[in-house]
Amino acid sequence: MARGRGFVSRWVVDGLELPREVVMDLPRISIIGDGQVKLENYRGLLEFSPDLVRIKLARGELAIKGDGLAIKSLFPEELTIEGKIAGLSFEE
Amino acid sequence: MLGELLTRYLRGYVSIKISGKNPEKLLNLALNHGIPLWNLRRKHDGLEAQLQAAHFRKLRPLVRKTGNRPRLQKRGGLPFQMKRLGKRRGFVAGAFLFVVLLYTLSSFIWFIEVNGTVTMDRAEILSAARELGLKPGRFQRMIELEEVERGLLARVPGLAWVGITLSGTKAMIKIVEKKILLQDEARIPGDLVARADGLIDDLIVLNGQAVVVPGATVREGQVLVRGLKELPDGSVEAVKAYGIIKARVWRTVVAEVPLEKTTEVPTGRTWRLKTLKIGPIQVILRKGRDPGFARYDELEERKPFRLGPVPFPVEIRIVTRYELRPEKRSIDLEEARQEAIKAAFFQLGRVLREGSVVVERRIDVSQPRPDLVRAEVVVETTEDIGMFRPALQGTPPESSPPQPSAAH
Repeated sequence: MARGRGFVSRWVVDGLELPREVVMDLPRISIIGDGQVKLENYRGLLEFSPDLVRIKLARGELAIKGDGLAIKSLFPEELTIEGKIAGLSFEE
Repeated sequence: MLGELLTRYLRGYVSIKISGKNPEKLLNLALNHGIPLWNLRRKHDGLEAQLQAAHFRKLRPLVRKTGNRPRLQKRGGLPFQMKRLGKRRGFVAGAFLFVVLLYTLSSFIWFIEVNGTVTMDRAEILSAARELGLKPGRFQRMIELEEVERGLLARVPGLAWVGITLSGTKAMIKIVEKKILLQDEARIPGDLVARADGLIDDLIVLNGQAVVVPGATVREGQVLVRGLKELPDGSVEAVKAYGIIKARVWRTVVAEVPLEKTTEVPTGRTWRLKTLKIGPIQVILRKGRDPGFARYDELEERKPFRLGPVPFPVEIRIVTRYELRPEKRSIDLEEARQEAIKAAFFQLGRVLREGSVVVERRIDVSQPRPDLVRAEVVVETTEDIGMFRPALQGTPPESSPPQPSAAH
């Protein structure tokens, strides 16, 4: 991860009020209650089991812990996970 | 979301089971090849997923690459259903027949309704319509409505207008009857008599002979204008008296208002009963414990079910009772006065006739009892007090006192 690029893009985002996730290649995550997580801009699936889903991001990974997790839809541009969600954590 | 589901259904989808180690690898491969998957579920012996039927072929080589094995579990959606239906010819034929029958049957006329009859017999109009071709079981397109309308007007005497509209399988015949004017009415001989006691102001006699003069006091029922006409040869003919007789009339109305009134006010407690009525059967849906109100107002709501324009013999009835309690209310003298006067004028409005002009009025308010206020309103009006009274048939009016005849 180049430090210079991060600085420039952050400056561009703040200055031009562009959507951060587009410019900086960050995932956009929306959570509805504790039942659904919707993820845009992800890179792939690392692990899928009923109590843990690990998702590869442009930088690091996202772990979703829960119970009875299922993937509602797995589309190239969007991923939706349903089930009883206990927590989300970003890992390097 | 709904659009997506519909697309899945229309295009057809398959459920597959992927067994083997590390199915995540396969999922990532599918992602990279742009194959959307949905409803993924992890099972102890693999992974279940759904995808578009057309994509299954594309997935197969990927599966081999990862060393997993996909198994087709279920096919769903319209294309597969159609295939299955193809094998059930009887069912398809039945469904088709049903649609055709429904369409055919709904293009006939099954019901005929007649509206607007007052003195006429509906059956007469129905049978005339039947003769003209408008009867249950006829194909709608074979009936020329305008022709039937014209035919009914020609066939049934006494019809002023006929309009037929089709609504579904029902034909509605709307008719208007002719009003037959009694032409003889104008020729019935008779007198003008006073409608009320009064003082004659002015009279314009258009037909007949005046009996009173301006300034005369008349009593109710007294003859004002006789229905007589002198012919050039000296004989007398009975005619219908006609004229305008302006007179002053005094009228008194009295209204009383008690100073203490008992009214019923709602206590706020209500009781509600919900019933469902299907034809003649009533089912209680919900009912609170009947608190047994001594006095109550009842409000009944009916909500009939309808299927489009067709009423259904099912309705929901909601009965709500509002408990009331009596409350004594006393009003002060001024309020009672106003109310009494208002009530008196209200009565007056019912007594006075159209065209009456109030010339003078007097209002007296008294208190005949300590708890009662009485308002007396006396008005002087000028109005036309002439009232036609037909003479008895066959006997021309004589100059004798008027006989009590059939009142107008």
